[in-house]
Amino acid sequence: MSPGLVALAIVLVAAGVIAVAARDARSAIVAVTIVGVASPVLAEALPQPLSLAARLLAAILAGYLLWATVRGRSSTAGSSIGWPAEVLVAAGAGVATASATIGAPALVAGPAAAVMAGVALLVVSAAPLLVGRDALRVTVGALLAVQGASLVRAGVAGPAVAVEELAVAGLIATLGGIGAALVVRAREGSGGLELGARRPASPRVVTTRDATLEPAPDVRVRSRSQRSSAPP
Amino acid sequence: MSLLPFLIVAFGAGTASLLARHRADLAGGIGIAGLALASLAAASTPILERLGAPFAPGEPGAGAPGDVAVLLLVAAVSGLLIVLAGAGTGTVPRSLPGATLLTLGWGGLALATSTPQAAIFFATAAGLTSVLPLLDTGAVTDRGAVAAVAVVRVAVVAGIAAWLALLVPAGADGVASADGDASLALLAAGAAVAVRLGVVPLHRPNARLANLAPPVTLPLALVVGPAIFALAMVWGAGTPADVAGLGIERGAIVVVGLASAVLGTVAALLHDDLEHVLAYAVAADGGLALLALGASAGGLDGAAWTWLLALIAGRTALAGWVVAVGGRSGSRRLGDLGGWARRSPLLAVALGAIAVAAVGWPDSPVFAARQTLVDAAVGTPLAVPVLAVTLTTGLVYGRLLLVGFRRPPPRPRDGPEARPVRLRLATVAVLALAALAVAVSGGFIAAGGG
Repeated sequence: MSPGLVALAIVLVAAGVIAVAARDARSAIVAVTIVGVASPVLAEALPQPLSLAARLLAAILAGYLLWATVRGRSSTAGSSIGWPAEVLVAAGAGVATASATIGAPALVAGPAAAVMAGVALLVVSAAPLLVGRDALRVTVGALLAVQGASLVRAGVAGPAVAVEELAVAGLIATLGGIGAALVVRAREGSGGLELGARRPASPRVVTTRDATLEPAPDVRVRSRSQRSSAPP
Repeated sequence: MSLLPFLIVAFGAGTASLLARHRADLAGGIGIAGLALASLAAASTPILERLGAPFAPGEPGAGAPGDVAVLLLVAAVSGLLIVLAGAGTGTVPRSLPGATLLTLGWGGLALATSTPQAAIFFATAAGLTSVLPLLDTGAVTDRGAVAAVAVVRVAVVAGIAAWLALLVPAGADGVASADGDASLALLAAGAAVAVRLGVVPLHRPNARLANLAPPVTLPLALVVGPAIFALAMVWGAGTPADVAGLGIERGAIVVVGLASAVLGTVAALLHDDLEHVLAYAVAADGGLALLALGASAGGLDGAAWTWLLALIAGRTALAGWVVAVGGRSGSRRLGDLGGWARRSPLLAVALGAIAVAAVGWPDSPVFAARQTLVDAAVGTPLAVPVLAVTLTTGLVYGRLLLVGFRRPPPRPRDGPEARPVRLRLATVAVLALAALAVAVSGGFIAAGGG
C-alpha cells in the first residue's frame, strides 16, 4: 500500500468527517467538494483525462450550486454525536476494512486505500442521508455516499470504464442541483435549512406581577417593574 | 441511428424549460414543445446501438431493435399527455415538463448503455430529477419538499445497493464469486429494486409521496423513475439472477413480490383517496416486476420489460384520470365522487380502457408477461391460482367504476362549485392516455419485444 495513497485516503476521510460534523454550512460544502475532487485521484493513480475532467467538473459544479444557494452564515444541524465520535466511527470502519483486505488480498483489484476510504465514507454518510432533517445535510450525505461507493468499486474491481465515470459525474452534478433546489425550498419554508419546519414566530411577551412562572420556550417573561423601565 | 437526437432534445429542452420556470407560459411552452420533439425523435430513430456498441444477441434490443425507442416514445407521449391533463385542470407545476424531459434523458442513457454499473447511476439520476416538480416554488407547500427528500433517499440508497450488488458477482476480472457473495448480491439487487418500486413492506416513502404530492407529479416520481431503475437493473444487469442455485434467496424475493402484488391490491381496495389507490396499484404491479429477479428461470428480461412498459403507460393513464376526476369534482375522495361516471361518461370510458390495459386479455403481451413472470416464480401447480389472485387488480378499477355509477350525493345549493378551467383538454388527454395504455398492453406499438 503506497504511503501517498494512504495519506490521501486519510485527508479524504477527514474531509468527509468535517462535511458531516460541521455546523457552518459553507465549511460542510467546501469539505464535500474536497472529497469529490480527491476521490477520482485516489481511485486511480493515472486516471483518463476525460473521466478525471468530468468528475472534477461535476464535484466543483455540485459544490458551487450548493454554495450559491446557502447565503450568509447559514448553520446546518451538524452531527448529533459530535466530530470526535464521527472520527472514531470513520477510523473504525477504515481499520476494519483494512484488516479484511489484508486478510484476503485477492478480493481487491484496485488500491486498498480506496476501499478503506470508501467504506469509511459510506459509514459516516449513513446518518445524514437516512435521518438528516435539513436539506444541506441530506445532500451532503448523498454526495458522500456516492463518492464512497465509487471508491469501493474502484478498490474492489479496479478502474472504471469511461462511461461509468461519466455516469458517476452526471449523478454527482444532478445531486448538487437537486440539493440546491432543496436548500432553496427549505429557506423559503423555514428561513433556515430544516425541511418541513415553519418560520419561527416572534416571541410573545407576557407581563406578570412577579416572574416566578415556568415559561414556554417561545414566551419571554418580564415583571411589571421591568415593564415600567423597559423601552417602549 | 443513435440515441443522440433524443438526448439533445431531452436535455436541451428540459434544461431550458427549468431555467425559464419563473415565467410559467415560457417554461410550459418550451417543455411541451420539447416533449413533442422528444416523442418524434424517439419515434423516428430506432436505437440500434448502446452508446457505440451494437446490441449483443439475446438482449431484448437485438430481437427488437426499436425497444428502447418504443419505451422512450411511450414515456415521452405519456409525459406530454399528463402535462396537458394537469394544464387542463390548472394543477401542473411549472417544472413538470422540464423535469420529465431530464428524467427521460437520463433514462434513455440508462437503457442504452452497455455498462450495467453506468446504467444504474444514470437510472439513479433519472430518479433524482423526477422529484423536481415537488420542489416547485408556489405550486406546492413545503410538504412537497419533505416528500422529495424521501424519494431522494430511496433513489440514492437503492442506486448504491444495486451498484454494489453488481460489483460482487463480477468480482475482480469479471469472474463469478463464491456462493456467499452471490447470495449477498442477489439479496442486495432484490432489495434495491424492491425499495425503488415501493413494494409492500417497503412502501412507506411512496405512501408518503401520495399523501404530500399533487397527483399530477406522481407518475414521474412514482412510476417512470422507479420503472427505469428496475429495467436498468433487471435487463441491464441481470448478473445476480444468472448465478445458479440460491433457492432460499430467490424464495424470499418471490415471497416479497407476491405479497406486494396481493397486499397492494387489498390496500388499493381499502383506501378511499385516489392518490393512495394509485400508489398501492403501483406497489402491486411492482411486486410482479420483482419476480423477474426472484425467478430461477433465466430469460425473463423480455417479460419484465413488457410488464414495466405497460406499468409506465397504464399507471400514468390512471394518474391522468385521477387528475381529471379531481379537477372536475373538486375532490379526490371516493366518498365525494358518487356518480362521477354519470357526469363524465368520457372519463368512465377512459377508466374502462385503463382497466382493460392493466389486466390485459389472453394472448395480449401484458397478460403473457404476467403469466410468464408468475410461472417462472412459483412453478406449475401453483401458477394458475397465483395468476388468478394477481388478476384481482381488476377489482380496483371495478370499485372506482361502481362508485361512478352510484347515485350522486345531493349537492349543497349554496356550496362553492368547482369550476376548473379547460376541462375538455384534460378529458381528451386522459382519453389519449388510456388509448396509449391499451395500445402498449395489446402490443400494437411494441417493436416485437416482450
